[in-house]
Amino acid sequence: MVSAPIKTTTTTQRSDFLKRLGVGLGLGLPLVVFSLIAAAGGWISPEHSALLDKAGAIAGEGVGPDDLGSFYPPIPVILALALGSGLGLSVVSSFLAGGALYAVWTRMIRRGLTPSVQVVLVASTVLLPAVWYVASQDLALIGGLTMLVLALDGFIRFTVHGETSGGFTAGLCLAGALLFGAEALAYTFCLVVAAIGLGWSRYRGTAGALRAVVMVLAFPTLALLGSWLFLQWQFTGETFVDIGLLSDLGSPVSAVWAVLRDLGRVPVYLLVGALLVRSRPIFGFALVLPLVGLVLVEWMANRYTAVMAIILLSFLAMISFPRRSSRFEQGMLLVAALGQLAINIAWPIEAVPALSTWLGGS
Amino acid sequence: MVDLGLISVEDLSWALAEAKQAGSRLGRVLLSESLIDRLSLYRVLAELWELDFVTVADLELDAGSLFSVAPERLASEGWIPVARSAEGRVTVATSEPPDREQLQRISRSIGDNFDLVATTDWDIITSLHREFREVVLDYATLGLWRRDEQLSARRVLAPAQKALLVVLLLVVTVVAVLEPVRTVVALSALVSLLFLACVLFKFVVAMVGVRRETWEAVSEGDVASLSTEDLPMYTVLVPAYREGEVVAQMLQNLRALDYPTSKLEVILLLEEDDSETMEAVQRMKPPGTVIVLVVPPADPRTKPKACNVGLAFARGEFLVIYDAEDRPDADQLRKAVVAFRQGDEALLCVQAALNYWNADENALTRMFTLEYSYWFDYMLPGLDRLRFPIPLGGTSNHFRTAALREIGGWDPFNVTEDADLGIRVSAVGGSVGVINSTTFEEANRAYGNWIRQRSRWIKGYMQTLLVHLRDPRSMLEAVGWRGTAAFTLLVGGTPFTFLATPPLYAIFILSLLLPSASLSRWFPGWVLYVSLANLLIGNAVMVYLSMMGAFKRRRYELVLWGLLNPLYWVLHSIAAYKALWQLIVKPHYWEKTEHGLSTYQDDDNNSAV
Repeated sequence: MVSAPIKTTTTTQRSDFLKRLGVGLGLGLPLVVFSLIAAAGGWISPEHSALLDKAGAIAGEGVGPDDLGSFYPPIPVILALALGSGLGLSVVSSFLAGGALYAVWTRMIRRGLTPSVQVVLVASTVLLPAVWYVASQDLALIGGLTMLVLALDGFIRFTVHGETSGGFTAGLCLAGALLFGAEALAYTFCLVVAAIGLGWSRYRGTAGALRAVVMVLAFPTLALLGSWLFLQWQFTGETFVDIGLLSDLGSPVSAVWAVLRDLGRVPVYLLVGALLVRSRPIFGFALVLPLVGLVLVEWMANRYTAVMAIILLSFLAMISFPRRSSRFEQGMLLVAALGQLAINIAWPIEAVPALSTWLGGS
Repeated sequence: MVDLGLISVEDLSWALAEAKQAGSRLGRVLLSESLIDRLSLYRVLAELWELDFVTVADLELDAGSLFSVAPERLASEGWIPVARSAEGRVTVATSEPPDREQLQRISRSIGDNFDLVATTDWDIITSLHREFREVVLDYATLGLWRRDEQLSARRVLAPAQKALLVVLLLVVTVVAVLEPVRTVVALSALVSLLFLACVLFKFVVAMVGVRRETWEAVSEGDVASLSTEDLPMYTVLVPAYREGEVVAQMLQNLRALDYPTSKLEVILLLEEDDSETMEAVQRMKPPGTVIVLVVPPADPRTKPKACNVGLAFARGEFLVIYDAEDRPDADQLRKAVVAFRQGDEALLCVQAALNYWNADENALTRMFTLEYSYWFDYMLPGLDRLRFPIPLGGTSNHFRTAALREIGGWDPFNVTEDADLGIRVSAVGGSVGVINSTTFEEANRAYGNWIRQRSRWIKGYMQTLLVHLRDPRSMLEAVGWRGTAAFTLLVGGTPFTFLATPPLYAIFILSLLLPSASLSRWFPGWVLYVSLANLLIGNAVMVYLSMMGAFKRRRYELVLWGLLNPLYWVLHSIAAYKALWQLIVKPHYWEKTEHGLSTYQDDDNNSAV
């Protein structure tokens, strides 16, 4: 009488989880195939090669706390240490990308987009060879972006729908992104500013509310950063070991130009932005901030790429498309998605190796 | 009654309408609103029932007839054997209408050879309380122990646990003498890893609770669809000790409940030596539905013992415990009724959230509120969702009265009888649910008082752990390995993390003051690294959880106070060491928490709530 419902619930939870995990991993499988082909041809991306070099240097003298100085970003480095091969890193990266895509897709379904629009929207991003490359050959970047996409979803639930759990997700995922790369600090800054902007009218007159919003979003990242810096200082004696931020400041103007130039590659984002601004002008402010984030990433960390903009801005558009949108709006989105695909195929991203280079083994 | 001048026509009309709407008896309504005195009411009823009226409380009762029936049965059925004639005919006093059902109930217990007289329900309860004093005291004190010694905290350690502890201590001592450095390394690594496991467990459960944020156990619609007429009798137990200053507030708070007062049975449980509260109650002249039961003085002098006394006489289908200063949400009882009716029979208890009305009184009340917000708004819903055993909170736990009696009531030797009971419910295959309703309490504002209270809670968790791990196999069979692990991490992990905090803080401070090379003998690099990382991650996680609890409650001004959580843990640690000491030297001692210390006025309370 008692145990039956308990077992049923637990079993359902577990099977739901396994189903989600299975679909997420399944979406990453094509990328795994690319990884296998690239590895068979002897290709290791410069990003993974650098991670493996770092891991090799750490492992060479035996892993110890004094290695903390060269342990950043921790998750990619730990994975490089554990897996020890470019293929291993690529497989993990592929599955992470699959997970991110699954997360975005489920949000699109919840937003009531028709299946055809969903498919074309996803295709506008995932059918690009440059995206295949980054998704399977740059673990740190794709890991950080995955965390950021989840953070953005939580952020929208937190700031727009008032769900505290969204704030939790956003705060923790931003901290998670910091484990993949220091550019997470730029994203955190932008989301905090966006939250203040979006919350200004909602929390006006409520003592401590905006401060609380800032803490919810920023505390995990700041705590993680503080802990990391403390441990580095403790075990290496160096106050600020290089985490890839502020060490090579670029030109802010060229950073802005780089991001603006690539905006043309994401008409989906521009369209969704316009629709959101039409419904609530304040969203315009929030939608500009991801661009600011990308500029900061380029300026402070020199880590910006056009693929990063395409993935981030497209996914953001997919999870923030207005609910209960009309057929006309969905039709426009369909056209924009097809346009995005055409533009990016017609003008491939030069910074990324051509398909024949990394899949052809040359 | 109108003709006799006992009540006005207007009052009678109102009471009749109220009785109809609530599905209550007219007499209960009149008593609950103090529109008539009990004696007059029952004299009138006796006349209607064509019975003689007697004030049973003044009589010496026939022990032979009386002790043949269980007191809780007499209390719930509303009759009592008074005397036996030489011919063996029993005189029975009833406070219920002498209809066929009542006559059958009496016949089932003492046969058909009886005469009826009328008396008041108060007379019955008072007489039962007096006559069964020793029986009730024994039930309240040793009931659970007699039922199953293994389930009672009367004995702190079972023989097997004692043996295990001795062996463990011996092994550690011997190893420490032979290999002092390695022993310290191993112990510090073990403490560190267990600390991390406990904190991560809480984090994961809280995250599951977070995902339930928009889920409502009982919706407003469910409550609205509940017919007042169909509401059952509800018993409210209010154990109080030296709380004369909050009695008036308590009665006011209970009146604010959205539940027909005629269907509420409030049992005030007072200690025999507590003249202060008794006098305060008498001054307040509570309505007729409030029953005062005096708990006989005997060790252990604990709240659960008092509650067991109340349980013996409770007549409600459901029962809830409130502390004297509690301020429950108005619809809490209705929500509990809905939850019980929607749940299956295994749902034996539902727990409402607790929070504080004087949150921003001082630093301590702020931290306490942060902690409660996280615990009741995230942890308990998380435990509920994962179907883990739930340690009940101090008050606002609602029970099916019959089921509570079946599982033996509260353990009077356990100083967190509520937590123990929650686990015991799971252990017998029952379940504990949570409802989306809050009871506001007074947060402790005095540090000494807080440490006393907290040391009792932590000692109680230690007792509960020891009790339920006496027979791990039974626990495993009852709640499975997940439930057992969850119970151990939660109930054992909570005291453990507080006990482990000072050593971890000490390592942290030493690591700041001394070069790491000088610590490397006792704390080789990886141990120190893991310890510090644990401390930092553990504290950050707990800080964040407390912040989120405050945010969910929309107590934004408290969020930043979450940063002081590591200091708050120092207080916990002091309390934990005190608890450990008390567990050894006076395990059943009940550290009394002073209430009514808040400087907030009633108006402040209302606005805070």
